[in-house]
Amino acid sequence: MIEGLISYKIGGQTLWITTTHVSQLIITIVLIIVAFAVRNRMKKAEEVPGTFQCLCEAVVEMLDSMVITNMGKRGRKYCNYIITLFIFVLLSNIGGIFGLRSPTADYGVTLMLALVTFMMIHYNGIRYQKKEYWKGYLDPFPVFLPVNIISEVATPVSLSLRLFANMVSGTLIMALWYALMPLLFRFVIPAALNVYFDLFSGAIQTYVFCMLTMIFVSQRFPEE
Amino acid sequence: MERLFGLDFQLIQDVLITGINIFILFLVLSYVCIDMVRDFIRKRQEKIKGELEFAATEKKDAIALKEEYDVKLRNINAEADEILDAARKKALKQQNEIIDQAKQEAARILARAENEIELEKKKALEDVKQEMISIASLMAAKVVAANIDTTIQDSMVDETLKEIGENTWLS
Amino acid sequence: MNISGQDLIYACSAIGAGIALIAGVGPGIGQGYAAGKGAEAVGRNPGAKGDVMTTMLLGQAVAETTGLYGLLVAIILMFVHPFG
Repeated sequence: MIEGLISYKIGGQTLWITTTHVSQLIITIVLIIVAFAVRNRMKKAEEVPGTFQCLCEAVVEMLDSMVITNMGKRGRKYCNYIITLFIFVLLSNIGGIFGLRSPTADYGVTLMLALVTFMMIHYNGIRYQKKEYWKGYLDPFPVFLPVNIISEVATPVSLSLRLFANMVSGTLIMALWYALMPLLFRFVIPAALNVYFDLFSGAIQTYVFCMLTMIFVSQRFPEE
Repeated sequence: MERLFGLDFQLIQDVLITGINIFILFLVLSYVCIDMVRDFIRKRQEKIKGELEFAATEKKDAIALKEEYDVKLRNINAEADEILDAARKKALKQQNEIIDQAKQEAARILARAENEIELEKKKALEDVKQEMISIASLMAAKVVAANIDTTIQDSMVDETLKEIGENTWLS
Repeated sequence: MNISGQDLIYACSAIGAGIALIAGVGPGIGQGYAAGKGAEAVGRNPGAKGDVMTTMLLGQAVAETTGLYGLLVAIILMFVHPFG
C-alpha cells in the first residue's frame, strides 16, 4: 500500500506526497551522486581502467549495443534515454530489497514512463511515415478507425500495466507473507521470495520494458 | 492515506512528478556522465585503432627493410666473390707480368754477361798476344845477348813457339 | 445474520477476485509451451543458449501480461473496493 505523508490542497483537491515520491527522490539523488562520482572518476581517467571505471564503461557499452542492435543506427539519439530508463526502472524494481517502496509499484510512475514511449512512437510515426501514419488509422476500412485508435491507446496502457502489475504483485505477495505467516517463517524463507519477486522479476521486467519501448519506436522508423 | 490504484487526481499528480523527475534524471545523467563515458570509450577506441594502424605500418616498413637487407646480404656474397675473382685475376696477371719481367731481365743480364765474357776473352787474347810478343822479343834479346849460333837460336824460337801453341798464336 | 448491502458487495468482490484469477491458466499454458520450445531449441542448437534464453524470457514476460491483468483485477477488487 502507498502511504500518504504530506497533504496539500490545489483547486479543492487534496493531493498527497506519498512514499512513492520519497523513494523516487532517494533513487534520483543516489543516481545523481553516482553520476557525479563517475564524472570525477572519468576526469582523471587513466588508460588502464580501474574497477569502477570498468563497470561504468561496461554498463554504457552494453546498453548502447543493446539499443543499436534493436533500433539500428537511428536509435543512436535514443541511447541516453534508454540508458536512463533502464537504470531508473532497474533501481526502482529492486528497490524493494533495500527497504524502499518500489516506485514502479505505483501506477503513476509506470504510466508516465509508458506515456513517454507513447509520445516517442507517435512523434516518429508523424515524422517519418507521414501519409502512411494517418492512413494506418483507416487501415482495412475507414470503419475500423475506433478500433485502431483503441489499439494505439492500448500500447502504453498494456506497457504500463505490465510493469505495474508485476511489481505490485511482488510487493503484495511479500506484504501478505509478512502479514499472514507466524513470526518463525518471517526469517530466511522470504529471502527466496525476495530474490524471485524483486531481483529476477524486476530485472526481467526492466529488460522487457526497455525492449518493448525500443521495438515500438523502431517500428516507426523508415525503411533503410 | 492508503492507496494502491486509482484513476483520480492523485494519479495525474504522480504522473507529473514522475515526468519532472525522469526529465531531470535524463538531463543530469546524459550530460554529466553518459556522454562523457561514451566519449572516453570512443577516444580510446580511436587511440587503440591508431596505435594498431601505426604498428601495422611499422611492421610493414620493418619487413620491407628486412627484405632489402636480405637482398643486400645475398648480393654482398656475390659482390665479394666478384671482388675476390677480380683480385685473383689481377694478382695472376701481375704475377705473370712480374715473372715475364724477371725472365726478360735475366735474359738481358745473361746476354750482357756473355758479352762481357766475350769482351774479356778478347781482351785476354789481346793480352796474351802482347805477352807472347813481348816474351818473344825478350827471348830474341836474350838470344842476341848470349851470342848463340843461329841453329840454336832457331831451335829455341821453334821450341818456344811450340810451347805456346800454334792455335793461340794463329787465332 | 444481517447482511447489509456493503457486505454483499465485499463478498461479491471476493468471488469476482477469485474468478478473475482463472486468467492465470492461459499464461501458465503459454509460458510452459514457450519454455518447452526453448528447451527444444537449446537441445537442437546448444551454442545459441544465451539468445534462446533471452528471447524465451522476453516472450514469457510478455505472455505473462494477461495473467497479470487478471491478478490486477483481483487485487483491485480485493483492496481498492471500486464498488463500495
